[in-house]
Amino acid sequence: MKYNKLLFVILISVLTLFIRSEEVDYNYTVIAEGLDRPWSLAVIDDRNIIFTELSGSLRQIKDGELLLAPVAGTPEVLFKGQGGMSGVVLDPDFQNNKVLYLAFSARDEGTRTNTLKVIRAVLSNNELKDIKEIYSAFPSRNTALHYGAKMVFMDDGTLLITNGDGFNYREKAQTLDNHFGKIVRINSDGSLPEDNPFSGNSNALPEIWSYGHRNPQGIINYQGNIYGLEHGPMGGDEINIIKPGNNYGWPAITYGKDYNGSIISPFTEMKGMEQPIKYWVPSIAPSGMMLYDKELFPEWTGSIFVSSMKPGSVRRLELEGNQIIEEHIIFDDLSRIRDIAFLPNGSILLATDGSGGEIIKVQPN
Amino acid sequence: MIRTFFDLLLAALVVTILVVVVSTSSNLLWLSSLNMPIDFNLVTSTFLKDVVGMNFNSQIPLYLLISIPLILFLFCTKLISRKIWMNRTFPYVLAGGMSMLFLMIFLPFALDNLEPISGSRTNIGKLCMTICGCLGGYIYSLMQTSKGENEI
Repeated sequence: MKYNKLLFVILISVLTLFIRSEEVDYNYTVIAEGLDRPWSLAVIDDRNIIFTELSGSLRQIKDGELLLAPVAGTPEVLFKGQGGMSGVVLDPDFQNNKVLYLAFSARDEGTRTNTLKVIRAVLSNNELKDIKEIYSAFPSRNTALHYGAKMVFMDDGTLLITNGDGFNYREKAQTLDNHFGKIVRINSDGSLPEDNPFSGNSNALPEIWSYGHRNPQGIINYQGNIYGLEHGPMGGDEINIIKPGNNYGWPAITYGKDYNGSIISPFTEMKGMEQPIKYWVPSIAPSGMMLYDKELFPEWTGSIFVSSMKPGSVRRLELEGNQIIEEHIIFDDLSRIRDIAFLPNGSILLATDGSGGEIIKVQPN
Repeated sequence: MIRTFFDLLLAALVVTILVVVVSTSSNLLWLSSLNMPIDFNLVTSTFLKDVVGMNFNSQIPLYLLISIPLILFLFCTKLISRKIWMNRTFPYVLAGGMSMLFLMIFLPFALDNLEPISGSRTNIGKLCMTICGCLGGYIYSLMQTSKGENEI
């Protein structure tokens, strides 16, 4: 009897330890506030961060302090619907060349249409110089939704740009003569790599890397694997492993329904179309993604983090190979989270959505 | 008056079902063009799910969306045509078609060019939707005729 009690106490102690080992004690520090719809984060180092505001600004946190003046010389954007100053990514050699890339929606001159554009520019003090347009999505659209507009560099130095389906043009995501619902790959100067999967196909645009996407707003490169994150309609948000030439199915296969309640497609899988490694029904409105490979939060190392806006939280997804084996909801005491990144020291950055948005640093206690 | 109101609601119901037919058909036809396996059972089940989904799981029920302009257009036509000595079938057909056309123009105008009814995004889709409205107007005129209100 005495031994049984001892065994019980030991068991409870071990269980408590185990549960505690899953708990992570952290705190939030607001490092920038009063922002106008912060949208995308790019980390230079532990104390220097660049981020976009959808309303049209590029802002800097320099030596840990938010610069009051936005970066000068940014292009004019179409700030409407989901459009505006969107993705920002640093050149792989940014420490030396100070080059960055901006994705934004822009009105076509003299028309009522608009499109997604990407520029390359040099950041000099708090000003953009040597601006060059390196990508313009084709064709233009008359809607201001579903731009995609996130970017990532591949290991070979080429740039992947996500393009949304423009909402009204969803069927075009399945044809290769346009950029709706595509991930495109270009060189950092805007030229075309010769080894794109459709470069020899006269019926396809040569920039296309993958197709059948809806509104991909997260893309990361981890050890050469490209993970794409996209918004579904009502349900059907997805994480995909992006490979050249693959068709990710939208809208021919989907786990979501249309906002008007109708069936977009009765199919969720089809030969020749890729399955996501993770999908959400109902939607979580995923906004940004990172793969945490730092040691500051050792329990989280190797997990994919997805920021979400419905409800505002972060989903930590445990990876085993390319399979997601468990999902944890964290940071759910903040508002809608628009983007997520980590600093070289392992702290996590969150950008909260909307006017009055904040950039929050998460550190262990 | 109650009968007229009931007839208007019934006409709106018919148009709603026809619009779902067009929307579901256009969607399935497109999927079929991608060599997706579409069979009769799938058509039937998708149509029934769309009827339920578009009216009960939508942010704005389709029936409500269609009813408001259709009832307004048909009722106005009824009031105006009382003053004019003419056969009312054609004005009702026209009013039904116009109400759908109005809806397809008004919705994108109000929603920054978004077209929430996917079946109406193409010109053929818009034409089909307008014909649905015309049929609704025609059915309403038939119901009015059976009441003897449509006599010259």
